[in-house]
Amino acid sequence: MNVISRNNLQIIGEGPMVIVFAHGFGCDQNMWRYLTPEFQDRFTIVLFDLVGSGKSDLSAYDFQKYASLNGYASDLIEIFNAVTDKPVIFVGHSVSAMIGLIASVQAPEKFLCQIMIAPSPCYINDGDYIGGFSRADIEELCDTIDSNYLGWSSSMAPAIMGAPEQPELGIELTNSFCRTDPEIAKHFTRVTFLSDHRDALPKSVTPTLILQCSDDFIAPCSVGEYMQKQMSNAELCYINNVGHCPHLSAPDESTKTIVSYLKKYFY
Amino acid sequence: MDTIPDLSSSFEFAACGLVTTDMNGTIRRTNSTFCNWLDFSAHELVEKKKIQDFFTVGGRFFHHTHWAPLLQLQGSVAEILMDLVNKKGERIPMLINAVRQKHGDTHFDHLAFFIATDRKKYERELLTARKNAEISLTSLKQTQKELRESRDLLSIAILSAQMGVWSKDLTTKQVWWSPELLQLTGFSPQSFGSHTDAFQQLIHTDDLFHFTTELEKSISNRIDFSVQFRLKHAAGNWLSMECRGHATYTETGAALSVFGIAIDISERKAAEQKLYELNQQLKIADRRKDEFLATLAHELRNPLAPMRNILEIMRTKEAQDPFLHWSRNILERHVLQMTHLVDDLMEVSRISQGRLELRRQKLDITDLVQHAVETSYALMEKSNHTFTVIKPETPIIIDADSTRIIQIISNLLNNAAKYTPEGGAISLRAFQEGTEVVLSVLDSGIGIPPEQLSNVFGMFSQLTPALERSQGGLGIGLALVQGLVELHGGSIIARSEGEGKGSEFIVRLPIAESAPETSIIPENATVTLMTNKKILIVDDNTDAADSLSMLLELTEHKTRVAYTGTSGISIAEEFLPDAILLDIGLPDINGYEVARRIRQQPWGEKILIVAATGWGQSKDKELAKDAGFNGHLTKPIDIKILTALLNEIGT
Repeated sequence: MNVISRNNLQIIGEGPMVIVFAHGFGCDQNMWRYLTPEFQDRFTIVLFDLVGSGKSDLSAYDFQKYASLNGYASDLIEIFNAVTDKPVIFVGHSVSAMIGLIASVQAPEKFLCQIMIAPSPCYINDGDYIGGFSRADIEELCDTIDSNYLGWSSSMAPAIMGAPEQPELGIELTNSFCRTDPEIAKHFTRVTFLSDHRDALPKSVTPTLILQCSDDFIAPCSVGEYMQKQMSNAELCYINNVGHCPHLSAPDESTKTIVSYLKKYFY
Repeated sequence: MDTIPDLSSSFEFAACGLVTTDMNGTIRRTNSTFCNWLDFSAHELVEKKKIQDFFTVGGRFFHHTHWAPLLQLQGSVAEILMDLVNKKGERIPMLINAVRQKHGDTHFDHLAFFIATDRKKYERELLTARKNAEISLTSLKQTQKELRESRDLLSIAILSAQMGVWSKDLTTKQVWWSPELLQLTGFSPQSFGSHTDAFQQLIHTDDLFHFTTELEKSISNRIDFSVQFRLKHAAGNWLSMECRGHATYTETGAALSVFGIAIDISERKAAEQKLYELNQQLKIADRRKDEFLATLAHELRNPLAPMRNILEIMRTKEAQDPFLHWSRNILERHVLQMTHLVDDLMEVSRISQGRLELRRQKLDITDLVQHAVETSYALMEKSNHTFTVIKPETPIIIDADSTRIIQIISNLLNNAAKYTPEGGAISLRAFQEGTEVVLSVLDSGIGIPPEQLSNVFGMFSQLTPALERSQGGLGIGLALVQGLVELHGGSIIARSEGEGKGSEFIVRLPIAESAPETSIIPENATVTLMTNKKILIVDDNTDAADSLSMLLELTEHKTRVAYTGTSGISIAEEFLPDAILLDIGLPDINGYEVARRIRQQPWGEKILIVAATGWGQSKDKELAKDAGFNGHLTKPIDIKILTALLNEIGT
């Protein structure tokens, strides 16, 4: 299995430390484009697409293997091994933060630290735990995903709108970062939002930074606080941001927080 | 002239909902179309609501995971399909495009909304259709997989059954063989010539005509064909094949093609041949056994003749000696039993050799039953059996040999008496059932165990050896009965509830159509002994000859004895007997020759010449007649029959 083509692995820079970025649910490694310039000089940056997303090898999407996040976690460890034999800094957004969590329990020696952006170990309310959603909400999300991906699945939809204010993007296809096979999208949605990895939190000993958005519909503040309490070695930092993608909508503050955490402990 | 509405009017009443928000989604401007759709007034929305507030939970999710990042990354999103919730809580499917624009230092998002109810419905339909197509496809794939599996399975089955399939296109004369048939015959698809001619070259020339005619017959008569032939294996050896199949036809009735299954029956053929050979060997062995038994019976009979003669002689002397009387009685009983035994043995072996002939006549079964009952009555009396006979009320006619039918009934009655302890009950019934007459002999005797029922008719089959011995039987009787019944075209079965529960023998004989001829039931005629006849006995068995001579002397006849054929002729010429008892198997010239020579003499024309043979077959009897014999007796000579014959010459 060629990890590089399977996960569309991209390596930027030649810094002594390796920092691996893992995108979240919905898009692909392009999400990191506002963050990476800051790390380019000092780190070897590893970008990749989860299998089933972006330009990964869709034929490698095994519905059985990826029926839980464990499949992605073992891919992640393979990626680490393919790049370096030293521990890495791992930055995971949303669902990838959970993939990193699982990998850090399985192979803690591979992690220098993990940075979780807008994570949630469980989206569904469960007794005292407030994940923010009911099962019916997740079902409705699946419907929305389904009807949108039907239109997005064709690999070559014409670009119907340009991006006049950001000419550097060129004439990329509309919604191209989110395109994938509708069946995979649907499956991934279920696996992501119906998962519950709360029990992994106390098992991870890896130093952890949680980036919590101040107004995130998907991962509310209560979730970030819950996680920090459950983990033995986690810091919680708030980013003033509406939404679930601070690395896109608040890239400067996000970068600053990450760098200061890393500086404090690792360089 | 018409005036075009001003720009604000175009905005307010555009054919789509138009909304401008800041980057957080807070609504900064909206047109009437959008307000109307959502049932809000503009001042309720502007600066007071975020666009996300009108999304469903799923929509808000999607906004976070897709819409916002895309807008951030590429400055636009297109064709987002999601529901917006109006004031009344109704969900309106909308298609949304958004573009981000920098105005001064601030970014604004311009949103256009289109109602997409029909489109959503259409897409739902499309989704359902796709789902259905997928289901059909899955089921098609499953069917194909099952088909493949069952074809594989069939192929394995066909191969292991040494079979193959073939077909022939009758228009193109092309022949197709299944992979199994190719494998069976050692051909590969390349080496197999698929034209009829090439196929026919593989068929053995001796079988080709048969093969093609059978096939043509099947095609023209629209029937299945089944043909055996030899087919050349690719290695050159011959396979025995059996081919079965039929033709297919067009709607107009023209023959299209022929389909068939070819089965390699080489092993079966070899087994059949082996079986045939074994069967032949068995037949030879069986014939030898029959010959042996016939010879044995014949050889056993010869020494019995003088014994019986001597016993007859002794009878005339015994009055003076009680011990002699007792001894003779015992001897006589045993010799008699032995004679019966040997007779039965002889007849059974003759039946099995197909040499026993019936003298058939139309007879009433009632007479035959009566006669058999008379002969067995003494035995019944002796054992204190209650003996019941039920005869049919009206005559039932059968075409049969009277002696043999009586023999059948007597044997069954004797058998019943023998295997029923003293004081038992035995019944004989004769009645009509359909086109058959049924004879049933039922006893209250020792019965037959179920496992023995099927083989009680086998020769020398013994029930319980100990029992058999105590009764002095060897089990020839039932075999003889069965043989005789079958000769008459009838059947016999044995029934028993088990040991100690009695048994029943049921004989069925076909009923004849016409009325009975004159009864020829042999009578136990009381014989008036004629005396003073001159009798010449010619027999190389000196004991037999001498004892018979002595016996006849005792009954006031004059006798002479000759031990060879030639001496027989010369004694005859000198003695001029009234009768000559002439043995056939003589050491010098045989009995036929002796008879012919005597007949040629003037003195020999009137002499009664009676043949005495051990074989008693019709062929011998014919020969005897041709050679000039007047009569024929089977050895050992029954003195009563001889006397009857002698009486005949007297009259």
